[in-house]
This record gives sequence, structure tokens and C-alpha cells, in this order.
Amino acid sequence: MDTRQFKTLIVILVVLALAVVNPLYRNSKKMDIITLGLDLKGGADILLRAAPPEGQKVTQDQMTGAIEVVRRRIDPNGVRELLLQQVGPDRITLQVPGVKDKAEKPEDLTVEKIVKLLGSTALLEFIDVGAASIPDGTDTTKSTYPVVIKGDDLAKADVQFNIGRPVVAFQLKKDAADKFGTFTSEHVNQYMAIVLDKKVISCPVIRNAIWGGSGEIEGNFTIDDASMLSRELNAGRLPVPLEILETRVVGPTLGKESIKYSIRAGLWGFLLVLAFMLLIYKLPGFVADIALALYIVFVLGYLSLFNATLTLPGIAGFILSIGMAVDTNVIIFERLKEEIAWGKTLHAAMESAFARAFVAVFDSHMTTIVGGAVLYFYGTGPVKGFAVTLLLGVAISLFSAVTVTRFILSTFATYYKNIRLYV
Amino acid sequence: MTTLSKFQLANYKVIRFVNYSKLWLTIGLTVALIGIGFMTFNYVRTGAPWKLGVDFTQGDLIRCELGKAVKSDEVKEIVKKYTDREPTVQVASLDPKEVEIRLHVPVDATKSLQQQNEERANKLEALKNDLGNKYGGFTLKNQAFVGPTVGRELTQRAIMALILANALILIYVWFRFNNFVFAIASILALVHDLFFLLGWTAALKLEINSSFIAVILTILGYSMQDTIIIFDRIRENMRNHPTMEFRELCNLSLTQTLTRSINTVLTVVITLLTLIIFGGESIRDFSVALAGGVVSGAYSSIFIATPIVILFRRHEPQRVRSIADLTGRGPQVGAPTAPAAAPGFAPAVTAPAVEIAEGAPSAPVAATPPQAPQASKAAQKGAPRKPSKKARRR
Repeated sequence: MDTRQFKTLIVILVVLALAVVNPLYRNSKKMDIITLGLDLKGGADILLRAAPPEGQKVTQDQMTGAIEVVRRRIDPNGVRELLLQQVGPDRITLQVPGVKDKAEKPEDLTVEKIVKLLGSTALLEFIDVGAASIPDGTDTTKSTYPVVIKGDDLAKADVQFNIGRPVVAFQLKKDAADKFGTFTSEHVNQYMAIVLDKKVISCPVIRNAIWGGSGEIEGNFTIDDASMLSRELNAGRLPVPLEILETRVVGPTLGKESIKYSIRAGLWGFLLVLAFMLLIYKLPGFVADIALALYIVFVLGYLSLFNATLTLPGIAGFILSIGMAVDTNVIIFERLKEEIAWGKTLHAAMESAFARAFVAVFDSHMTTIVGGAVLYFYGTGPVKGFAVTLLLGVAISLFSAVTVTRFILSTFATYYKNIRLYV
Repeated sequence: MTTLSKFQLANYKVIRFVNYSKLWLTIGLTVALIGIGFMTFNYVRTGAPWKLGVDFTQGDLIRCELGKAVKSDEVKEIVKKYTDREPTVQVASLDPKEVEIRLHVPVDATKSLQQQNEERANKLEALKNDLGNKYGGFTLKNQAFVGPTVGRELTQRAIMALILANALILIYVWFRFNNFVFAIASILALVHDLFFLLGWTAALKLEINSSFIAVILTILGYSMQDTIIIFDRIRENMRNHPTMEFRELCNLSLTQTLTRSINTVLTVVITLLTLIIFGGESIRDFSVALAGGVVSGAYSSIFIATPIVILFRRHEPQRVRSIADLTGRGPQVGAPTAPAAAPGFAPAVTAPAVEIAEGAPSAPVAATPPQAPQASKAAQKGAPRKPSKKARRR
């Protein structure tokens, strides 16, 4: 093996090592080897927009605040592996894996529940309505009743049962508790309306002074309603209302199915291409097959290393790129046949074929690269995934189909000189 | 040096692709027209040239599996309670428990945003409950809601992407070919591929979503790739065989690259077929669209791009490379022509026989005698034509 070949071997081994290191690391930490998109994992992908009232523009503070509130509402215990990011000046993308069809337990989330959780600004107000109670459902946007306690004054809220009915029990913060105590002691036998998002949900009479700041909100709640309200109260008020622009949900069964089917398709595709190359190109075909196996390892490894998200179109792009990677080999091997026919020695023919073909191959792949790059910049979610695997595949295929194949083939050529194996 | 028994200086068959240029272009045009026909048919029947996914129609989409087999009309009745416009309900033909529902859930625009959100969510929940209760179970496969803002944006982004990609490809083609004819021909081949793809999608009623843009851009890239390889070979042959007649040269180039063209499209189609057959329904329409586009991209390089080049150059005078050409005392019968005179070149003309005619030259470098008959054969093939052409031109 001469110096140049040795250097090539080192390069190949380094590329291989880099490809393999990240998956092994992630596997040891029991993480997924490759980050899966929601269309494979199952879950909800929601695009939100901050919709401030007429004429106002949303501020960055509001955005940051809104993101915090959303996180606390959807994932109060921090266990869900949410992806929550600001996109541009006024949009938020929320990805919730593991969304269920039906909420069997209060912690379960269906996409509708998420929408409802995000939908309300959860502005809670206790207002002093004086001597007469006002009916449930009254709209208080234009009212002038003084506000005694606000949602911000709550330290905590949770669901409890009062005579079998679900209620939201709350605990006020210290200062508010004092204020509440003073107010209730001064207004015994008068009414206080509990207003949520400017709608009265109940209007109890103040029977006696309440010190200590704990109380209950009763309002004909179902368990679900109560648990959602307590979630919202705990998470805090949304600084700005959120509009839902787009929702995509993939159920868990479909996600698993998609993975299963695409692996199946990938295996079959790989095997058929292997057989094809072997049949048509014999020894070089066999070498191309080895390079193809390496190609797959490289692509998966680098997808893992770059922490790229693999989506379903991404898998399709990957399987497509298997066919295109072999394309490069076909060009080179056809050239090889011609060079041999022109009378060069095996060695010289290989040198010439690889040299000439590389230029042609690189050049022709440029258009695919251009297409892929444009896709990457203009595509959303799944389409970006496709662009990533296609671009990565083209880049790696240049390496594996040219450098790796050439290395292995020239090594073989020193031992197997029978021309018949090559044409 | 091993003797290559497969290689003989046998009859070298150049396939006469471009001689039927007009035919190929007519077929290409017909295919495009058929595609437009399908699109028109769809448009008349459904209001859109293709089956549009929810990304473009906006609204809600629910795909689910119910507890028992259903008929679309029954389900439609239930869905109608929650929507003001006519919903679409499709029951999967292979599995009558699978249903696809598209609807627009109306909301009271006078209410606040939060209340609208809540109203929509409640209605959808109620719909799912209804279906679950009536049909013994509801399992969600996938669901989507696309609001009007996003719907518009997706269309805009797709158009921008197309414009940008086309502009970049045009620039690339201009630099790469530096030749008006080649550039135009390759672009027209792309146009053909685009029409084919759109017609193919319309004919097979494949669903178009925002991911379709990926199909279009991939096909554009792939088709151009294929065309570049063939045009590169034509240019290489123009350099190596400066006196060969252009039509013949194109035929030669196409024949030389034929095996490569077929094999590369085969490998890609193999992988796409496995995706179509084994990949599951979520990716099927996408893969079928790609498969059609790839095949079109491959054949458009041979049957659209090159014929266009020929048509453009039909009236160009032949390239003159030597005095012999000008005086008409060029290739004579028996005398080796420029290609044959240089031993390095003669086999170039005959070598492709390996793939095509299963004939092969035997150790061409060493064996000059076999060359002579071959050279004269080539000259014979070439010679009668040339004088006659020259005779005509005079």
C-alpha cells in the first residue's frame, strides 16, 4: 500500500469513527440514536401566534412570558420533553410528543385539551359587586367593579372535592391573603364575583372574614374543567392571547407504523440495489455494495452527530439517496469499461475512470444540491427533513462512491487482475 | 495483457436516436397535452387540477380508525352537525374502518380569540366522541388543522422556492454550458418534466401537500443532472471527433451513455418502488410522484433535450476542422479518416460495442491490423454520407 493509499485509508477510518461515535454515545445514555420527528414519534405540533389587541404590537417581554406560561401549562412537571421555541417576532412553535386520543387521566393531553389550555388567558379576578349578586356568565369587560384579588395573587391552586363536586382550591400569597382578610371582614353578607376571562363563573356571598388566604372556587366544574383551570392558574396569566395557526397531530399507532414500514422499505431497497450492482458490475459492483453499506452507516451516523431531526419524508429522501449514491458508481464503472476497451491496463483504466468521472459526478450533483438547498430554506418541518437527508446523502455519496470505492477497488485490483471480473 | 475475448471489432451499432427527433418531440408534446387534459378533467369535476391536501384547502383533517366498518354517508351525517360547509368523508377501500374526514369548523368571529379556540376544540372533541360512541371506538391516526394564514404562506413559500430554484438552475446552466442551444434545450426538457409530473399527479389523483414542493425540486435537480451528463458526452465527442457529422455524433453520444442512463434510473426506481410497495400509505403518494418524475427526467434528456439541440443545429453548417473538409477531399473510401488515423481514437468509436453489440475489439492498442478493416468500415459508413452531403450542399 503506497503513501497515498495509506492516507486515504486513514481518512476513511476517521470519517467512519466520527460517524459511529455519536450513536454509540447516545445509545449508552439510553437516548434515541437519531432524533425522530413528530410524524414518526407521534405527538402534536402546534404553531401559535401572539395576537395582541387591535393596534398594539407584541413585545419581546410578552413573548418570553407567553412561552413560560405555555410551558407551565402544558408541562408543569417538566417530564414531557416539549419543544417550545420562538419563531420570528411573534410566533411560537410547540411540539408535544405523546398526545393521546382520549384523556383518561387528568394528566393526559389530547390535542383539543392543549388547544383549550392555550386558548384562555386565564385572567382571574375577584371583584366586589356590592349588595346584589350578579348572574353567572355576565360579561364584565365594561364593568367598573373594583378588583379585590387577581390571579397573580394566587400562590397555588389545585383540584379538590367539596361534597363530591370538584372545586378549585387556592392559596393566596401572603400580602394578598392579608388584603383578602381585610376585605372579607369589611364586606360580610355582600357578594363577591369570581370572574375568569371577564366572565362571571360564580358569585358567592361572603359569609365571614377569611384570613389565611385559602379558599375554594366553585363553578359547576367537571373534573377536567377543574384540573384545567388549576393548571392555568398555576401557570399564570398569558401576557398576550395566542392564536392557533396550524396543528399537526400524529397518533402513536401511525407513528410506529410509519417507522416499521420505512425500515422495511429501506431494507428491501438496499438488498435489491445490492443485487443489481453485483449482477451488472460484478467485482466493482461488489465493491460498490461494500461502499453502499458504509454509506448507510455514514449517513445515519452523521444525522445523529448533527442532531438532525429525522422525519418521514426524510426517510424517503434517505432511501432515494441510496439509489442516487449508486448512480455515481454506475457512471464510474461505465467509464471504467470504456477505458479498458480503449486498451488501458486495469490500473491505468481505474485511475483514468475515477479521475474523469469525479468531475462529471460532482458537477452533475450540483443541481441536486441546489434543489436541496432551496428546499431547506423554504421548506417547513417535514420538508426540511427531506432536504437535510438528501443534501447529506449527496455529500456523503461523493465520498463513499468515489473515495471509498476507489480505495477498496484498487486494493482488490492488486490481487484480482482478471479483466473478466471487471467487465 | 489479457486478451479480452468479449471485445471484438464487430459491427458497431450506433442507435439512431436523433433521426427521429421530430417523432420524440411530438410524443413529448402529446404527453404534456394528455397531462393538461387530466388536470382539466379534475378541475371540472372537483374544482382543482389535483387532489389538494389540507395544506392548500385549509380547515381540519381527521384520519381515524373506528371500531367497526362504516359507510361514508353515515359518517357524513354525523360530521355535518359540526360544520357549515359540505364535509368530505372518505372510507378507505382496503379497510372500511378507516375514515378520512375533512371539514371546516365554523367559529363565531365576534367572540374573542380564546373563545374561538375553545369553541373549535370543543366541537372537535364532541365529533370524536360521537364517532367513537356510535362506532365502538375511535383511534386517531393523524389530524391536522391549517388556518388561513398558514395556508396562504405555504403557497407563497412554495412559489418562492420554485422561482428561486429555477433562477439558480438557469444561472448554473448558463455558466456550465455557455452555449445558448444547450441551455435552451435543457430548460425545455425541464419544462416537459414539469408538465409530465403535474399530469401524472393529476391522472393518478395523488394528493398534493406542502411536501410536494420537495418532489418538484428533486425532479428538477435530477433531470438536469441527467441532461448534463449527456451533453457533457456530446461536448467531449465534439472535441475528440471534430469532423464527425453532428447528428451522428449525437447518436454516438447517446448510445455511449445509454447503459449508464438506464442503469442509474433503474437503481433510483428500484428504491422508489420499494418505498411505494413497502413504505406504508403515509409516504405512498409522495413516492409515486417521485417515481414518475424520475423516469420522465431520465427520458427527457434523451428524447427531448437532444432532439431540440439537433433541431436548432440542423441549419448550422458543419464544423470545419481541416482544409480537407473545405475542399471536399476529406474522407475518401479506404483512406483512414482523422478518427481512424490516430489509433487512440478509433477504438473510441468502436469500444461502446461492448455494451451494445456484444462485440469487442481485441487488445486494440497492440492490434493494428484489426483496426484497418474497422477504420475502413467506419470510413465507409462515414464516407458515403459525407460526399453526398457535400454534393447536396454544392
